[in-house]
This record gives sequence, structure tokens and C-alpha cells, in this order.
Amino acid sequence: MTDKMHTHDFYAMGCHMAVWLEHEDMQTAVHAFSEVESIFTDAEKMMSRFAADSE
Amino acid sequence: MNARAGEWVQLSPDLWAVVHQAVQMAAETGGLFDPTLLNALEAAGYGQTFTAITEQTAVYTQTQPENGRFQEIAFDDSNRAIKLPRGVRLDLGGIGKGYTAEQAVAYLNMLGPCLVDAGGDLVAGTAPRLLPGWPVGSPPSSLGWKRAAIG
Repeated sequence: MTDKMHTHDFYAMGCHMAVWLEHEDMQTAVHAFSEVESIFTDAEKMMSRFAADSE
Repeated sequence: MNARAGEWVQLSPDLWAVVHQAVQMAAETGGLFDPTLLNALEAAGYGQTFTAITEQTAVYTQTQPENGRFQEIAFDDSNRAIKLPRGVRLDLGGIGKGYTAEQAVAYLNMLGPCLVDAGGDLVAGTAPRLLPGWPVGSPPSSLGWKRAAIG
């Protein structure tokens, strides 16, 4: 492992999510984590059985 | 989709892929994995998010759930549409989370070594550059991590 390992935690789909990314640039990692959160948020909106407007 | 059981419903590409995988897994496991368990889950009291469920709400109501009918789901590949049997509703909670974690890793892998822990469902991308694979267990405290990569 190196000191370039970044991690991010968030809550989605009723669960605690954690993501690790090894990258030299912290800003790239921060942006990537935001994208990953969006991937989960969009999927939850699509598939959730608790949301009346899900697909 | 669930509200329109008995009708042909056109799905988005992602939902189409997840439903396809779910039914394929059901067939391959002989129904041990069954995406048509939603009615049974709700009958058992899981009609709310896990955080909202209390011991008092999780009471089995002895209804007749319409599960185990995944083989009756019809697919129209050319229109990306499905038709659920009347009374059947899908729960994609488990496989949907795994599918989404795979999507996230597919994206992150373009940037570098990555790992996604979706509530205990792990999807690993490329291993860290200085390791042969992702470590399992608690790392040495000298690395200064707050979390283990895989618990």
C-alpha cells in the first residue's frame, strides 16, 4: 500500500458503503467518490421498492 | 414495473440488465435465489426500510406469497420489455446492490486500483500497485489506516 490510497464512506441503499481508490491526485479521488455516490443514488432511485416513483 | 404486473413494461437498460441477471441466477440456482420474494418479504414484515423496522412490525402475517414464479416472467428482448405474472412483484435489493457495486468498480478501475464495499457485498477492482491482491484482515497499525480493506 502507498499513501496514495484514498477512502470514502457514505450511506445508500439502506447500507453503509465504503470505497477505496489508489490514485496520485486527491482531487481526482474526491471527484471519483462523488461519481460513485451518484451511481448508487441513481440506482437506488431506479430500483428501490420504498420509493413510489422508482422504475 | 411491479405496479404493472400482467402488462408488458419497457425497462431502462440498467433495470433490464438487473432483472435479466436476477432471473438467470434464479434459474441457475433452481430458485434458491428468487427475485420474486417481495410479497413474502412484506408478509414477513419487511415492508419498510431496515432502519424503520422494529421488532413489533416484523410479524409474519401468514399470507400466501406469490413467490417462486420467476420462470413465468416473459421477456421481449427486441423491445427491452418484461411482463410479470399477475400478483408477482420483484425485489431486486440484493442483486441490485451487487450490480451497482460492479458498475462503480468498472468506473473506478479506469482511474486506478479500487475496492467497493456495498454494505458487506465486496467488489474488488485491480489490486493496489505494491500488493499482489487486496489484503484481508486488519492491516499493521504502522500503515495508519482507520479501516481494514476487508473486514
